[in-house]
Amino acid sequence: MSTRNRIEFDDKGRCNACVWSEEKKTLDWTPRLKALEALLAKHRKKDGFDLIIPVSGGKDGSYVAHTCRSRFGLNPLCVTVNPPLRSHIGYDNLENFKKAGFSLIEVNPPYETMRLLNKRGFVEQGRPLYGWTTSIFTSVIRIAKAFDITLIMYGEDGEIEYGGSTESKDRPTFSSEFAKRVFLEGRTAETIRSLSPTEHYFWDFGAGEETNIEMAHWSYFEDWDSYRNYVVSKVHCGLIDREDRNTGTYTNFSQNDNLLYDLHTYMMYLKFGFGRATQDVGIDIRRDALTREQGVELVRLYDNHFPEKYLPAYVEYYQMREEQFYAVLDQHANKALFEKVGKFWQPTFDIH
Amino acid sequence: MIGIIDYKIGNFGSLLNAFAYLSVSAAVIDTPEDLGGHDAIVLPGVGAFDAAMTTLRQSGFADAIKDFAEGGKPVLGICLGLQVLCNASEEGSLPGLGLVDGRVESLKKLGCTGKTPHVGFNSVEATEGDSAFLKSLVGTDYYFIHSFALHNVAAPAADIALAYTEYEGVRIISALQRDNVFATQFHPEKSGEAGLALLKSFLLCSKSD
Amino acid sequence: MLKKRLIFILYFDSGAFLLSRNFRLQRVGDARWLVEKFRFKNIGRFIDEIVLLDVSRKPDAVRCGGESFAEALGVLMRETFVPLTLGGGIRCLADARRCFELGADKIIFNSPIHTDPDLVHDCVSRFGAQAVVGEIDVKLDGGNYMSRIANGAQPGLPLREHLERMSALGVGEVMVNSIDRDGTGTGFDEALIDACRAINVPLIVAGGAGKPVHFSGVLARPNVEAAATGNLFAFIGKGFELVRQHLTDSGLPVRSMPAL
Repeated sequence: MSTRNRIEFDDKGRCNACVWSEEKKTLDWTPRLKALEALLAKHRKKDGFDLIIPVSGGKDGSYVAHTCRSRFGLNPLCVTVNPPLRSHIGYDNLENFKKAGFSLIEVNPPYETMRLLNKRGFVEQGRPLYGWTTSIFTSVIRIAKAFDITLIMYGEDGEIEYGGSTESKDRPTFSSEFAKRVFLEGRTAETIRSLSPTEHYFWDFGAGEETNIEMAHWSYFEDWDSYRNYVVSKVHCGLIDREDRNTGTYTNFSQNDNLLYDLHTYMMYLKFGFGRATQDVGIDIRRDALTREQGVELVRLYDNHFPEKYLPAYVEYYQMREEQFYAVLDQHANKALFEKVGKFWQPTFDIH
Repeated sequence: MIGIIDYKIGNFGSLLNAFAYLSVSAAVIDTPEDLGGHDAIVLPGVGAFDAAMTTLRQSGFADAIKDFAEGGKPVLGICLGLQVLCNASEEGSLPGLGLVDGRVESLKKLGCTGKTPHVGFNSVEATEGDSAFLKSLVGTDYYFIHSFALHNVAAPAADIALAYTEYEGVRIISALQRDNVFATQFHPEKSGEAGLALLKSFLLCSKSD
Repeated sequence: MLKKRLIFILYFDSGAFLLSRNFRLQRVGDARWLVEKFRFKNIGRFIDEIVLLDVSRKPDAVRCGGESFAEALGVLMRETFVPLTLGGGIRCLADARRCFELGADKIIFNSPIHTDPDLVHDCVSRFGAQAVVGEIDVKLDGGNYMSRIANGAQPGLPLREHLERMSALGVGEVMVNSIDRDGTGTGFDEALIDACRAINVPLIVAGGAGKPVHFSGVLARPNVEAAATGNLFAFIGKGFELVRQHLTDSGLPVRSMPAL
């Protein structure tokens, strides 16, 4: 049974991400590569930027930027939205990415608005990075319009690679309408409620049509291998990994540019019963580096880790008292999966 | 009290751990004068034959060990410890302790067609007999790491062989007992539970003697 | 019959054990963490040897003789009776002797094969060939296998030349590690193992193991005596037990274990 919207299991008990990873093994990528070349040719410019690549300094965006530049000879404009509670390693990796010679725009939406939206997301939906993850889509469209760039290339389609809607599986590009409906879950109006136009500029696509802007995911055109991205970015974009593991999992090289991501995956665990280790194990099993039995050991060991060391930073950022913060966890914990033992929620299910 | 002979190139850390695990008091002996106070001694082994014999002779251990054994007290030689109990070895030019009447030779010379050294877990095939030490060889695998081995012992002492091991065309003596002198070519202290069982039985043999 | 070996490699730096991915190190836990998560009391039932390397890269780092290294070793080996190989920063005979005092059955050399062959040769004559392992870290460079030294930081020699050098020094075993596969879980580099056919001492292959099936694949080869992994996550918990079971089920000659 699926605990999360849009993840579905087939009659063999495989989720859509695993079914897709099996399909990929025999997929003929040639037509997709041709489609990519056609798409890039259509948007290539004589001067100026050919496309926008949203990046964070992490492995995935860096891989796409490096590949577009070195393999396809493109001139990308990279865009990042600086995250709340950025980590040292997040800062260093963005610096290293700049040193790798890419043109980069750093967007800093109004701090208080970002804080307000993140807090609203955390309290109302259990999504601690809501404001930031939304702005990654919306502000990039603002930049595209401002620079008259008509192609935005994202990394992987999370819905396809990690489980979710399969609507975009066979489509090379999507429109901003699709992004609004699926990736932003049609919440734009609700998100910007009570904000002034100055405040919500980077959370709103703006007036006018975006019909000339095409968006695409690199994972449609090339087999998405986040471990390969990590290795390539280490070599070509100066990517560094943490000296120790990230909270709630065993890896050290993914999603570590801000402290709220640790809370984000912990909330995911409380809501759906699977955490960051399950995500990583899924990736490792799909890339044939672990068996399911080995993965179970890691999930048991790491999934249920509250990032306690960042608690002071969280309550300060959200301007909450500790008990208010814990009340939000209580509110969003899935009572069918967890029971409260002392301060924390413990699973009533076992992983087999 | 078990004494472990320190002849400067041996490896005794894991032996100390093993005896501690078996709740037996054991200590490292670095001078021959201290031998007397012990109920049994172990000659561990890493290293080359001549280097070992040189140290044993210069330190006075060579004679002390022979006296200890001839006095009827139990001695256990492990790996190179087995080899130095013999008369001589192809590996060196110095004579051995001569407590076992045999000559150690290289696996290659004995006709081994595989890679040397012989490294890893290998099975031992016990002979017939009623020695308690022999009976504790439970037919499982023990850890070997050596390029030289005892292949044969002079008649009529051939019956001192307790177990043989096959490796790529050769059949070597992997455990032996001559009265109170015990020896294994493999490392019981590196062979998990099977090895611990063997050390335990050496202790029992020591007590009954 | 001689059995195929499964070897657990541990990388150590200043009190912590590390995971290596393409030779980049991630701190994972201390000796107590390792003992608990890998159920060390029983680990000897599932693995055949432990190799412990000090990988501290600071020039004046605590080397093999360092106190934290000895302490960690004490915690690990107190109740674990499997063969032990020590190395990392052995720079003189005294360092080597110290390793044996700490309980090593074998010592392992990488950079000194290049930088100080006399030391390696001295150790072979003093401690015997069986007690000295030569380790080589290999990286594909423009389609050719090249060795790297100093924990992968400096260039070495073409693979064949490096192997010949080790053979001339008389080491008793050779461990070949793939930098490209290290920590990736994508499996051992079979072409690299093919390129090591000439090795006439026992061969240990390392670099890339993720799943149990990776081990059975390489151990089925007649020229491979042992397969090693340092992947602290892939084999955590009952991971090595799963590997051992798989090797037994595959009909490979592996050590038989008495029933618990």
